[in-house]
Amino acid sequence: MCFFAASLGVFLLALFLYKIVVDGLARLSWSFITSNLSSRPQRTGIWPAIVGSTYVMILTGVIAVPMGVAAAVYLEEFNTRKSRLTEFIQLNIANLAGVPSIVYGMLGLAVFVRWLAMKESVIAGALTMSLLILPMVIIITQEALRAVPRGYRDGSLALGSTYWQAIRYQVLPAAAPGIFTGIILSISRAVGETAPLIVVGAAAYVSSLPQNLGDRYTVLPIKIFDWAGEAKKGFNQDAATGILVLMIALLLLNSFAIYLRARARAKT
Amino acid sequence: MAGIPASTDPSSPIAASRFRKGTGIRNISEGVVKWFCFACALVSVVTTFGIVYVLLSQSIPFFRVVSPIDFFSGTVWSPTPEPGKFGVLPLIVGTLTITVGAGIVAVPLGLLSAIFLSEYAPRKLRNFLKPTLELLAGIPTVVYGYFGLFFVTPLLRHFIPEIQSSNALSGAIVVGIMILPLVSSLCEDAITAVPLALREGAYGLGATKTEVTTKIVVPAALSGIMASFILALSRALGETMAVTLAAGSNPVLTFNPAKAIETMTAYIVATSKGDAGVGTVRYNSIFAVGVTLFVFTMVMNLIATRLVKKFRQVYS
Amino acid sequence: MSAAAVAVGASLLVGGCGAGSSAPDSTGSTTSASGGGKASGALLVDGSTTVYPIVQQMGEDFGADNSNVKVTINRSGTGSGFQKFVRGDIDIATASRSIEPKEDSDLKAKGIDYIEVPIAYDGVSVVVNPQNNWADKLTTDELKKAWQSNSTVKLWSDIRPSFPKEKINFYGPTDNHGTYEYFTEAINKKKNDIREDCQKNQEYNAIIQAVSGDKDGIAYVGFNYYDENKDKVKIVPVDSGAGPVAPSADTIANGTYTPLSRPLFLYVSKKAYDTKPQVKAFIQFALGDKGNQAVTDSKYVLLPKELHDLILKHVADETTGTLFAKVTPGTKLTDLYAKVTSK
Repeated sequence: MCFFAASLGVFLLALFLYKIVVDGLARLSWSFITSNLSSRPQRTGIWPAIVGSTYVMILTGVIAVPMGVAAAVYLEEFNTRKSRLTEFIQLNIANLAGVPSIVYGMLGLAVFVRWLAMKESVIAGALTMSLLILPMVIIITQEALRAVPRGYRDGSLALGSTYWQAIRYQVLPAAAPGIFTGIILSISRAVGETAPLIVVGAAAYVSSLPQNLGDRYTVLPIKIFDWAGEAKKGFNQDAATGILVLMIALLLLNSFAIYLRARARAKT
Repeated sequence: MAGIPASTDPSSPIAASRFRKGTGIRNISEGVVKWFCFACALVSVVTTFGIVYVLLSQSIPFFRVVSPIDFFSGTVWSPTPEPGKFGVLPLIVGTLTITVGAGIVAVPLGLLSAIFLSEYAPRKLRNFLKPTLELLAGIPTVVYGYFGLFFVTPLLRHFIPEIQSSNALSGAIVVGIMILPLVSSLCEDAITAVPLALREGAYGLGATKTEVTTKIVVPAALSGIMASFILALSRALGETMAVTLAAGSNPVLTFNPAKAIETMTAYIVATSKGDAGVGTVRYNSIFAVGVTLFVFTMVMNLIATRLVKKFRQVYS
Repeated sequence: MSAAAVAVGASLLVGGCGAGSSAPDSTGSTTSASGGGKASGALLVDGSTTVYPIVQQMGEDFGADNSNVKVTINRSGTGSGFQKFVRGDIDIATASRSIEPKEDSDLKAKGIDYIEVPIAYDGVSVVVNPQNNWADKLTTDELKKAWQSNSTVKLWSDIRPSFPKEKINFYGPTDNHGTYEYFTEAINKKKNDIREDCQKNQEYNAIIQAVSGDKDGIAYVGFNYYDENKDKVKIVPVDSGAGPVAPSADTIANGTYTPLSRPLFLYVSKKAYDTKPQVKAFIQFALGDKGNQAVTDSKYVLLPKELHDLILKHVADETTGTLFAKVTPGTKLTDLYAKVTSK
């Protein structure tokens, strides 16, 4: 019965994937991946979107993952007296995990784009996405930390380590597989989000690649969304090809992270 | 090194605080790390304040024009023609329909998938299925939207001929499929984390595999499972692009799943991309809806957290 | 250790991206390699989703000729585009409607003078299901009767007794689209006034999909969406008193498809036009042959030559302000511009 359920989910998704592949394969080529954007469906490439997405993703990961893990460590490990403040923080995070991505977009617009005058730049987008995935990273990391048996910490402490040493050398490595899952899921989410980046100003068309943090940019999901909504039918097909590219990229990304997770799991 | 007083309870983490006293380099760096982690945790609080400020500051002008009573009890949402009717109930019902519907799809399927993956699947199959599911978690939501529009609805039309092109059922199914990998992956982690000893103890007492799974493993993993449900449902609640396309942009109060609806999030995206001039009532309605949405997720999370706590107490 | 691996991998990726910044231009571009145009700097355009296909092509071709210009084009919506224009964040705002009084006064308050440049016509098209063999034409009165907010029309036969007695289903864009505003103003005579049970959708492709699957459906969409979907929907010629006229490049341009022909605009900041050569060059480009090509390639309609020349003069004179404050749908634009430039 469980097999049925698992496979039903996979079956539906496989059906979906099949349709995408059928629609998108025709236009998939090296030149599509490396060419610039164009208003002619037959000539357009997707390279600026790939570069933009990569930049945003890396920046988001670099910002959100350490912060999220640190916050989770604080909540689970350093904080033993459950004060009102921690309860409040915890509730806060649970709440933020459910806030729609568009609201983060509005926040990012007001704080990063306008108030901090970062304009509609890569860094503004990355900071916005970091805030978006931060709660998810924290929650998943917390669960991973909770699953580590008490013995790990206490054994270490009994041998005279500091709290941080216990965490760093015993708990975190043990929780690493779960944390990697969290990172994979969060970054995948960040790469696939459209609405907040639209609000924060990711462009629909850029003629050149972003080279600095302050440059304008576009990302894959936005191009997919744009192309799918265009009147010219050629673009609708480009959208399917764009989806393929995105999924291949995610596949590579996830595979790397999964490799790391498998290594970490093997150690425990 | 300080001697350990005999009265110390070795399993109490408070014992370690003993080491915090003192100014050695070890304790300073320990302090620094702790404060850094604390600061990171505070970021979430700052974020919430930021969101509340941004939302409130622009919805207050809205509520000066549209009374909160009309807003929360009105059943017609029609910003144009001016002056417009701003009853938010159609949007709320739309959001809830999608969320509950998606939950019905994703929660059972996701949990069962996770159980299968962690308890029953052979290693090779698991190593293939789990990453595949996670990959699918990364498909952009707009893709699911078009999937619903061009694939799911025509399929549903065979069963429900009068179904509209965009409809709530399609939206719920599509969002459900979208959050399925999330539920599955997190539940799987939670279940795998249950120590082998628990399972073996049960086997040792003569339990069957099904009994072990349903009576020992799942309850032990319950907090992680519930956390995954909450995350997934929150995600469904906040879903934007997929519902805009699959479920519609038509704010009508209806419980008929064959009809087009609009969720709060779809409305916010659509209007912020639109023609409404900044500062108009129509523009500010975005923030009023945003506030409603925010309050909603807060309430939902409060309920969920209570539930999780209840379950956790029984088994910790 | 694995963290180090991640860091190395990440930096390689970023470094690789930086090195790859000289991505090849789109293959098959008719202009020779990196255009040697003298203009450089940034060009920021934002606004209407309707006008977007046109400016995207203009931006792309302009960028091919002037490879030192960094062109950024966005489509956050007409209202949103004006907002950024008021803030001074963009050089050119595109719009599927003329500027509104409030936006005009906001710009004045900020001391931003603008030049209003119509660049194309769009014809809002009324479409029905291909199996609909009764609605071979509709008068503007019939349209108003059906679409207005207090309409009593429920069946096709309520519009005209000879039509079938079947429930009519209305589809259209949401109120975030300029098309919505224009259609309601042109047909219902009152801006944003439309029947409540019109099923609105944010995406035109979804509206086309809806009508093509509903025998009793009727919708209004932009001309380019009709043109690209002739196999899925059927056009309804509109009769505004001089006989039924179907939208086409000709009828929209010469004004016989009325009142549903509407102008599309670029609004350029005068300061940007004067101080940034790349902005001036772009506007000249947009009003030139390649710009015209962009309009027709996007399935929009060129302004008639006479009008086009008047607008060229308008821009050359750097006349600021809007001429459209009191213009209603269906006005002959040539007269409007002739009046101004003859002063």
